[in-house]
Amino acid sequence: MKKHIIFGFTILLSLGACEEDFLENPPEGQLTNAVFPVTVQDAILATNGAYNILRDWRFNSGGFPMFDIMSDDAKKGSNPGDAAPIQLFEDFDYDASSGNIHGYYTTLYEVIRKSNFVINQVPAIQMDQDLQSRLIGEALFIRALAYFRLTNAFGDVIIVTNNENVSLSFERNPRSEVRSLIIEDLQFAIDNLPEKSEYPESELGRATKGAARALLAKNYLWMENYEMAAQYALEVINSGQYTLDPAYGNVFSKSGEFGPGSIFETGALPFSSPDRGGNQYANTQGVRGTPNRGWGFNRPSWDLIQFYRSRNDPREDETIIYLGEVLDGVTILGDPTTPDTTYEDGIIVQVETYNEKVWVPGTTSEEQWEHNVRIIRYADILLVAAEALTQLGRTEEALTYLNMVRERARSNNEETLPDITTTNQEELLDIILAERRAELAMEGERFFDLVRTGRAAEVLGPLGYQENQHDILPIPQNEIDLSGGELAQNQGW
Amino acid sequence: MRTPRLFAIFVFIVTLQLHSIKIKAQDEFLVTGQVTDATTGEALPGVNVLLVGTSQGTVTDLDGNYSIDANSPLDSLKFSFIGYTTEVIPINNRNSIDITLSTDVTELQEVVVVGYGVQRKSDVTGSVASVEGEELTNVVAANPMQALQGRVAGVQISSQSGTPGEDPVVRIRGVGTFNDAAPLFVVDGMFFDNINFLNTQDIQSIEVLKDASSTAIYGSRGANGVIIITTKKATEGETDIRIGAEYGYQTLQQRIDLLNGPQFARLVNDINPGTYNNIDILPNTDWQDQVLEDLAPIQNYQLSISGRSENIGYYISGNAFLQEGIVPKSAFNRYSLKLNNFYQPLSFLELGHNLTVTRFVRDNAPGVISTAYRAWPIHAPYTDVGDFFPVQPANPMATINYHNNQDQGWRTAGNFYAEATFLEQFRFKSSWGYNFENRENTVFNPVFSVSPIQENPENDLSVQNLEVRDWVWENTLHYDLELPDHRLGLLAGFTMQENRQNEVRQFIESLVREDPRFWNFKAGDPSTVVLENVGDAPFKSTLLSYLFRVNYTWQEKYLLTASFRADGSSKFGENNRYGYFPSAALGWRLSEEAFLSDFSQLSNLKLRISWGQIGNQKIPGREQFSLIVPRESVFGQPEELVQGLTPDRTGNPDLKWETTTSSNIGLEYGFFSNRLFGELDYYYRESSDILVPLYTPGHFGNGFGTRITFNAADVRNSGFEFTVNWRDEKGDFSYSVGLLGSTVNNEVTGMGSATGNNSFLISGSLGNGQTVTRTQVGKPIGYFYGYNVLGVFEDENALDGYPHLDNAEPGDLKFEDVNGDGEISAEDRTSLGSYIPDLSYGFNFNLKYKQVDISANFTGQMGSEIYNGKNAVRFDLLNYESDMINRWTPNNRTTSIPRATQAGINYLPSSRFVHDGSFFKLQTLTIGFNLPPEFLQDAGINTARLYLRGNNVFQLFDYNGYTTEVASNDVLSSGIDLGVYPIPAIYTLGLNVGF
Repeated sequence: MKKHIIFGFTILLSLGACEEDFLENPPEGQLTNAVFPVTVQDAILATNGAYNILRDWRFNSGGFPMFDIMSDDAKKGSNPGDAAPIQLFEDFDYDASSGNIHGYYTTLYEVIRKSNFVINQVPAIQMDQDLQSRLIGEALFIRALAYFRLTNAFGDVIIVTNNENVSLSFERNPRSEVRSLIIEDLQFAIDNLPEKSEYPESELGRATKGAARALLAKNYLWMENYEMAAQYALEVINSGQYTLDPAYGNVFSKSGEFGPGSIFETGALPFSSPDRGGNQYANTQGVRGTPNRGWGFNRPSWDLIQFYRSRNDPREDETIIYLGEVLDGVTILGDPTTPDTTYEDGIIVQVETYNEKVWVPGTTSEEQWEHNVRIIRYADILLVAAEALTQLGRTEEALTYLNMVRERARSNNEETLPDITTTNQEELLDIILAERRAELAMEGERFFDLVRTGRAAEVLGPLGYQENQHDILPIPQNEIDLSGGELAQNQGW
Repeated sequence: MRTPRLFAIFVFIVTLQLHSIKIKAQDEFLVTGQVTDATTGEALPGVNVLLVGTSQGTVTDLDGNYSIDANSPLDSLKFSFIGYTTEVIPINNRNSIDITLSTDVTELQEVVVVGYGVQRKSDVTGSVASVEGEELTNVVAANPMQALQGRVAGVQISSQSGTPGEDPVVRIRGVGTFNDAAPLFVVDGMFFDNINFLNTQDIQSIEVLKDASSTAIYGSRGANGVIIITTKKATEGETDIRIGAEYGYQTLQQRIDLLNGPQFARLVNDINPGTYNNIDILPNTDWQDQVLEDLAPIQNYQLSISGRSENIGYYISGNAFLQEGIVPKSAFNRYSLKLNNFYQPLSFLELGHNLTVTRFVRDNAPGVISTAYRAWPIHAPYTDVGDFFPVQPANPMATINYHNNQDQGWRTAGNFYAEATFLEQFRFKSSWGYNFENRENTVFNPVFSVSPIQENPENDLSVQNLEVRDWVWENTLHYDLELPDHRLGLLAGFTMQENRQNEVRQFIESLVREDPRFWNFKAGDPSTVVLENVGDAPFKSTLLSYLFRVNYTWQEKYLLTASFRADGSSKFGENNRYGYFPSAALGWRLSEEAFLSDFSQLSNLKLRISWGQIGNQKIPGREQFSLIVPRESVFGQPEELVQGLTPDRTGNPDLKWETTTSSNIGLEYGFFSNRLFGELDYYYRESSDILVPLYTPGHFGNGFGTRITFNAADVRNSGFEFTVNWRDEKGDFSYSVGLLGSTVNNEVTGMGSATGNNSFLISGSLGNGQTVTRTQVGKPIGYFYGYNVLGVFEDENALDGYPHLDNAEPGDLKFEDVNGDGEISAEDRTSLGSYIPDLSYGFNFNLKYKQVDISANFTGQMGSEIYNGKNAVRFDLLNYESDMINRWTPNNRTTSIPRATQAGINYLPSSRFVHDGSFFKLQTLTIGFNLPPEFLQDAGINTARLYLRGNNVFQLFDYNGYTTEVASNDVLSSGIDLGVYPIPAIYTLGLNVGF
């Protein structure tokens, strides 16, 4: 009898044990966060995975280059009836319900989540310390880049450093805190990332010490901490890792990919699918019509054209595609439904043009998906140095770097863009701002340059810009609804 | 004259004598008597009195008296009457025989299949409906569920379309979830999601369990109701051989009214004057005529053999079901074999198996219905030289010609069991059930070029292979105790189940030859090969459960049932893996109470009330996990794709069961010895924790547009069910009539307040970017949402007098300014109706007179709406429905049909496209003739029946379409007609022979 009882009991116990196993069914062929990352290989894969989202269409200002369109550099583009919601950005008529703004906001937080995953999970892996620190440094750079864009665009934002336990309070962290986080993240990156030249060629595209320094310099410039901005910009310049490509036009070309002036760039392959390596950034702005390279958005404005022409700037040719041009053997005829020239009261207000900086040789729209987005360039850092040094009164040094940019732009053409010699701070700052426009047009910098230097109301007022409202984007209405009203909206919205 | 009078009397007497001599010579023995009720002593009129061995008989009169001439004093008389036990009385030389008949108790001792066992019908406390297998054979269909339409109160069966072999949508008591709302099917102890592999003729009975008390024993999967199917077993008696053959045709019941050639040409001329100057020479093609077959054959052949010897019983059946569709290249052929045997090697042990093996081939229909609907009637199908003419928007005949899409496979399902009885009252049963299926879908697209929009430059082959391996192991212990006043049944059980599925898709292009022999991966270009898993495959889910039930009956009057089930599912996270589902029910057989014993007309009155909780776990199993997915990066110069892995959207480890709490109160009644009987029920079902995808706050980082599944929504379904039946017999004539109906009041009562958002779900996609349904609190699931049309703007004045969209012109639809703000905007959209019917009903009758029988079943629905998606999807100048003849033009300003346009205002989601979904149809009409026994006995045949049958003989509905039955398995997007395959009328002739 006793034997029976023990036997029965054992059966019950073992039933209970195998019961648990029986009901455990992790998905087949797929990893879950319970078992990944574990090995050194996992750590590398997780870091690689974090770069993928940089090729997401909405990573670049929600899909359409809305910051360029808001600035005086560009108009909406495409034909007049297309994408009415984007027209709202050109006219400063947009509001918190914009899907593009929501897309930008959610995608930047997705970048943060993917990099948080690496930052929080990789430290626990047993592996070579140098490699581990490098991988974490890469993830921290990516996170810093996301917070940099978030706070520039939206002001105060919620800080999330660990997505495993996100606070349910919707309190927004002040901009200063976000800037501090960026500084902290980039400090670690600078200390632990190799220089560009220390990477094998097969790893080009990964975050580098120089990239972290450059981003930190830009961050300090926003904070108006010119001392630190100048310091880090100079560290980049003096590292000897970067030089200016002698031909401005080559900077954005296929042959100029990962060129001497490339500080941080996202690689891409010519496939119209992100899963296969493509990036739709260039396709959105590609020539519309004949050849059919894309949708034709982000059209260089008549104002930009006039600006270039007033300075006789050779960079006009490399920035703007005009109808009738022949590029790499392809004649640009444009879109039949878009007027070649638009007049208002007899004056030209728009000409059908396209962004040449995203041109990829070829005739199909799929080939445009190969374009690498240049996120940080050496010329930008040279001008950051110039601006910071000027603010500090170190105008002689500033001139050196400013003139390096002009010299490259001038190239063989001795008559234009002469060296600047003035040491008057105010004058120099104006010149540098203009130089930034000429050098970095259509690259998403102009709008923010105007806002952070306080010139936005003056320059963009005529276009509809309202002070104390349009300097930052509204928090997306969907997010406020999702929070049940807890998430605060930006002032002015 | 005295002599004539005497003579007359003499003649009279002689005649009388002669007459009585004559009588005595032929019918020697007269029997008379009275028939009374054994219990009440009252006379029974209408009782059949039959002389055994002959067809001679009579009927008792109003006083219960009868008079019959027997052939000999040794004959027997058979007394029969509905509701009473038949008595056969030998005459034994008696001229006067008074007999009493007792109420047929066996009717009330009839058993009903309930979950994990059987129960006496009188003891049942839950809401259970039974349908005999024979009734199901009245509808000629591949899927036995089709035959249940209009037969069970509370069960709504809707066809998705008329495609051969397609499963109908089955809903029991409304819709209680946003996800899979299909009921659980239990066949011979094995669980299925659909029963399209089952041959209707193998079904003995179907029980539908509707309330919590009856379904709670199935715990986790009973929330949508349970349908138990019992297949035939060997019965007592001699070997029984049956052969059946049925052959018939299907035809289109009703066409869609479209513009013909001249009407279309005139309309085009209206839009673009002068386009067609000579309308008479243009072709006039009726595309529905061209595309649809006039008569498509349907056949059903059946052979079954069953028999019993002392220790073995067997039932073997083979069936072939062949249905061609009225759309060319669509068909469903199924061959099945059934083997239900049981063995009793020892007196206390029974072993057995119920197996089905099925082979099926299905030709999937080309998507040609919507093309035929839209094609220009002024285009001919072929050119002068016989090529396909480039018809706008596509040539339907070419679509058919170049279409190749076939499913084929094998399926076997069933169970093996062993049952032992011991200590008299205990019974232990262990059964292992399984379901294995292999299905292959082949699609081949050849090279063709009919027009620039209808061409395929490169041929391609796509093959999808699905493999299903399910098993279940159940162990139950029953204890039954019978004492004079008490009847007690106890049940305890333990079950384990595994469902495993894998689906792989292969694709290749550029096959060297297009002949079917070359539809193989060796024949194509290897560089184009794609090999991938389809959807969530492979996946495996498991279930482990404990179940308990108690049934108690006291004094045959007071009933109690209580059950409890604990289910653990692998689909839910550790925190909520187990769900617990209790239920309780009480019943009171009022008819057995003393205070009602005087009410002799009352034969049955039972009140029952039940409450319980049941669960639903029909979700994909992945939602609880935070998956890591491959996301590549591009590095290096030259640039290369580099492997990467990163988290996908976060999982929800707190996912748990959807729970439905269901209450039911019902009354079963029977009068006049159950000649009049029926049921009345009121049900109330609250489903909560419904799984619904919700957006999460952006800073959680799940990405733009991503939603996570939460248990967050609540739905309520309530309503009434009623059945009324009458049956009677008068001599050779017997008949029965039945009426049933059910109502559903469906409302969403809660939605996603957990994360403070999502007051509605948008669905009902038409495929052109428009969505026409919404689901939100206070409305039925998936209600139609759009602008409410008030009419058409007659002219500019009318336009100025009412708010309208910016680009509205005279002739456009006038939308209601619902919020009264003087503008028409997205806020003026409103509720336009629901696809869930308010009332579903059925009416049936059966007549039998001697050898002839006639039976019919009518069914219908009221109070539902459908969306005319086929009319609403317009992307170019295409054919219109015939109502466009009366469209608005400057010469025809007063009309409700707007002007002809291709897009814009008149094609926004609006009530223009919402139609009444009500219908009434004669679902089946059968006229049968049973050959008289005299003709059959020589051939050794027991029964032979010849019958003529019609299904969907006529339909009444108010809609210009093939049918209003356009249900869908997606409960959020149902009731939308996007060009549905027509449901045909079916006419067959059949013969059933039994040996």
